[in-house]
Parts: sequence; structure tokens; C-alpha cells
Amino acid sequence: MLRSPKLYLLLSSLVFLSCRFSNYQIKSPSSHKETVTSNQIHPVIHPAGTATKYKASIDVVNKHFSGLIVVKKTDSVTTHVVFITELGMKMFDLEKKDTAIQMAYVFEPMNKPALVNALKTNFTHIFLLDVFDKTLESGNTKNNERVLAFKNEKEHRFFVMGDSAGVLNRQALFHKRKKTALINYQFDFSARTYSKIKSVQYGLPKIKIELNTIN
Amino acid sequence: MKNWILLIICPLLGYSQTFKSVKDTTLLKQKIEHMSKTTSSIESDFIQEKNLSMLSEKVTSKGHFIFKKDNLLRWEYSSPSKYLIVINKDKVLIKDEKKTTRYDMNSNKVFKEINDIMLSCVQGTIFKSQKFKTHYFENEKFFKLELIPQVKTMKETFKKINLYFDKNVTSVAKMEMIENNDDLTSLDFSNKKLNAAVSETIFTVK
Repeated sequence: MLRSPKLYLLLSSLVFLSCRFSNYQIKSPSSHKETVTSNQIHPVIHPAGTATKYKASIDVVNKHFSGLIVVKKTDSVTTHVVFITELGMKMFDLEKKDTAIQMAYVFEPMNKPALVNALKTNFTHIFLLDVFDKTLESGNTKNNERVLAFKNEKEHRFFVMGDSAGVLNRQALFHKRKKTALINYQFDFSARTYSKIKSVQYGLPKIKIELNTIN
Repeated sequence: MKNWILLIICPLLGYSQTFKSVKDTTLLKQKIEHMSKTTSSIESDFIQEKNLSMLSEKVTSKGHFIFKKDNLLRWEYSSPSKYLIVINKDKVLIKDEKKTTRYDMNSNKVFKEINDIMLSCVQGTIFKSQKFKTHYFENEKFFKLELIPQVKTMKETFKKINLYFDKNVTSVAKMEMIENNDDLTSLDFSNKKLNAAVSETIFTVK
């Protein structure tokens, strides 16, 4: 029992350290530019025609939603992320058509601009809707993790790769140098899919999303 | 083998057989009223299918429900995830795999609306609601009530709700909710027990 506070402190420190901006920065001599394809990052969404279904738990501030998420690429340029409750009521339908991403449907009581915007941003990040065909910086961090990085004036996004080729381990987002979101991915090698995805957005509104695949 | 296939397919064929308008709606209404009055409890398994038209995808859920007069409902999903709704008069409990939440029906308009629909559909009394315009149809196996929403809040979501009763009008056999975008949620009820003794403790919301 006496060791528990120390253990807790150690674990907290590890979590804190793993979140630091500098941990994701690519060592400059090793960096180079790459265009992201499905070879660089194994997509979360399957090719056109195959749907993936997840049990979903979404916590936004003090609201809790649970249900099912169905993700499907309906043709070569269109993808839908649909959230339905257990009772079968559709809560939202996020549509990506070519490069445009928009909410095609939102259940009226849920239709609050801040909430809709936060859901759109989070699910765009989780399902990597805006990543492929972008040119990212690639290289290794000081901890020798392989990272793909996207940077603009405000946002830094880091895609930390796992040991296996193309498998995404986690995605970290920073506004300037402040961490705004962290998404952890668990890959099922037999099903060749991400079986568990956990996302936390730290800014306002705080959002926690957990997805677990179902058959 | 052929007989087995027929046994499986026949009940499903009933829903797809052509329906024609009911001539004597008064008699049908009386039968439904009688069913509602004489039913003190319903226990049934259900299979819920959500058809997402744009994705051409189907999501199937299974569960069990228990209704007891008045206004006691336990609606429980067992797959693909565990999810429980208990309605005890004006109190609601919702329990998923992560959280249990309690609501007061009167403080949440959406819940009140959902509660009204669920209870009146289970009892078959929804045709009396002013919120819907009802059309009555029948075929050899079923009566079908087609409920068209008349109020704004309902119209925003549903195009129509279909309720199917067996020809003896003993209980609701199937329910379909068709949304404005043609997404369809169907509920098929099976293994029904009518008027069995049901303990009130299973409806506890504490």
C-alpha cells in the first residue's frame, strides 16, 4: 500500500512526459517529406464497399452518449461516419465528399454549433479523413519512434507509428506547443483493422470518445 | 427440408404481402382497444434492424422487453452491446456499459416524446394520439396501422410509423419507423408472453 503513491506518481510522470511536445519532434537530420498513402499509414476506413461498425461512447462536457458508429466509403470520393443510438435513432451523419467534410445530418436536439463543430473535428481526426495525399514530414523522434508530422502556423499533428509497417499507434495534436488532443489506436492484426480507438480532446469542449469494433 | 424453409419464410412473407384498406375501421379500433384494456403485461424478445439507406447497411440488435400496466417498461438490449432503459412512470433509467443515468421525464421534452411513443406502441394505443394521422390496412396475416406525424417535432424526424397486429389483434407483432431520409428501423417481436405475473422490482429506478 505504501508503494502505491510512488507508483501513481511515477505513472503520472510517464504519462505527462509522453505528452510533451518535444517528445514528438523529429530529429532534424533524419527528416524528409512524404506523401501519405495507405502504405505509410494503414487506413482506419476500409476501401469502398466495406463498412466498419463500432460500439461508441461519447462524453462531451457533462453529456454522455452511447450507440453505434458505422463508417463506410460509399464510392471512391465519398465517406460517411454515422452515429446511431441503441434505439436506432440517427444522431449525426458526417460526410466527406472529395475534400469537403460536413455534417450531412444532425439530430435537432443535438444541433448546437459548438458541439457539432467539435464532433466534426474529432471524427475527422480519428478516422484520418483529412490525412491521405497530404505531404508530411517523416522521421524519428529522440525516443526513436517513427513519426509523420503535419505542421502549419497554428496546428501540429503527429502520427506516431507502431513497430509494424503502416500501423498507427497514436495521433497527438498541439495548438502551438500546447497539447489539444490525443488519439490512441489498437490494431487487430488478424482482422487487419483498428479494433479499439480512444480519443481525448483537452480544449473546450472536452470530449472523450471510445470506439470498439463489432462484427 | 423444404417444409423448414417454408416455416421460416412464411411469417416474413406476411409483411410483404399487398395490403388493402380496412373497410370497417371501427371494428378494428374496438379490437385494439380491447387488446389494450385486457393486456396487463407483455414480455417479449425483439430483433431490431436499422437500415441506413445511404450506406446500404444494416445494423441488427437483439434484446428483451417487459411492459406492465401502467407505464412500467424495461427495454433491454443484449447485443451488439448491453443497454438498458427502464421507464417507471415519470422516471427513466438508462444504463450502458459505462454509465448509469437517471432522468425525470418532465424535465426532458425529448425523453417524454420517446417515452410516449414507446409505451403507446407497445400497447397499440398510439392510433389515438393527436400527433398522428392513422391509416388502416390489412392482408391475410396482419392489420397494419400507418401513422403519419402531424406535429412539427415528429415530422422533423419521421416520415411514418407502421404498426403490425396479428389478425386476432392480441399484440403488436412488428413495428417500423421510417425516417425522412428513408432510413428504416424495424422491431420484430417474438416469444411473447401476455398477462404473465411480473414483479415490479425489475422496474426500479434508484
